[in-house]
Amino acid sequence: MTYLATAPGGPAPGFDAPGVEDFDLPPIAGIEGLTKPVVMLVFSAVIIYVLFRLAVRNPQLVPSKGQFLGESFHGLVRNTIARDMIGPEFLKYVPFLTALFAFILVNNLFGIIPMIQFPTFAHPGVPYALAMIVWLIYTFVGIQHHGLGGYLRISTWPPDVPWWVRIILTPIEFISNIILRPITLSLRLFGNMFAGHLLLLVFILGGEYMLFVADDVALKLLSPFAFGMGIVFTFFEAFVQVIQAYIFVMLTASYIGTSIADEH
Amino acid sequence: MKADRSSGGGATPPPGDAWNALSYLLSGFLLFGGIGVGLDALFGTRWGTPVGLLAGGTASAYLIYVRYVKS
Repeated sequence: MTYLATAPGGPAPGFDAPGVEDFDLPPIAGIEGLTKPVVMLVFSAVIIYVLFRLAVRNPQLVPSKGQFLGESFHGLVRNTIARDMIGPEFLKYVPFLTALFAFILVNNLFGIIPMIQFPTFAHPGVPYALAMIVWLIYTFVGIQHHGLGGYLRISTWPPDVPWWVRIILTPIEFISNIILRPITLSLRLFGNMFAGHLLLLVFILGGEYMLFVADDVALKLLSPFAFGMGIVFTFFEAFVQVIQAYIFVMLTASYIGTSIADEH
Repeated sequence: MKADRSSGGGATPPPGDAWNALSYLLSGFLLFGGIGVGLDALFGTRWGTPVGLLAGGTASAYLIYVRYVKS
């Protein structure tokens, strides 16, 4: 992504637009495979563990502030996601969904927390792994509830259509529900985090270039607008990050609910 | 799917379900477009891919209708 380098900018070096290479962070302390996202993943697990631990350390009938926050978080997942999406047997899945929501939320918010400022899920490998776990769970509970044949039937058998239409639609259902679901699930999260981070990079690095590198006085004067947009989009990203974490968990619950739904 | 469990007709599906429409749409294009590409490569024709894509899109749209509107 260097085509902007040829843009007119006087004798100063052209602006190198941020691109995919900005997501390839160097290994820490020369250890192969130990990169910032890896550290952040572990760090997020520790943060979540400690926060939930503190929230339930000394449970009271009249909750303390921490306990109230922890219970609200749990209640949000239980009442607005699990109960609506899964149906009568939702309670069993609430711990998993709560942990998943917390994990994605913290890792997404890393993208705008100063000094960290990198959303872990901007690397597609991380959402792929989560989607694989989700896929294993909803496939397993589906087979557990209906047997293999029954599970395939509810996920690939469109209701109330003639047999020759079914020949056409069943392969589509199979590809969609068995193969594509985890891919779209992970790519939606990855794409949003990747694009959001890139957007922030463009505005912040662009503003930096305009202010410090470019010779043009007009560019220097306009640079506050680039920084301003960077700040505006940081708030926008906060919104996107929360929404995407919510959607991932909501879809997970929806898939589980579909897997264990009674046949009609 | 889950809306089917409620007895009354016209129950709205839960909001999460609609997100699957995207993967239904992609699947139709992938499957029948892929078949079209394969047939073209096999017989050296050029019309298989567009016909496959159109057929796949139509089938996907119909599947979405069956899953979300009709049931």
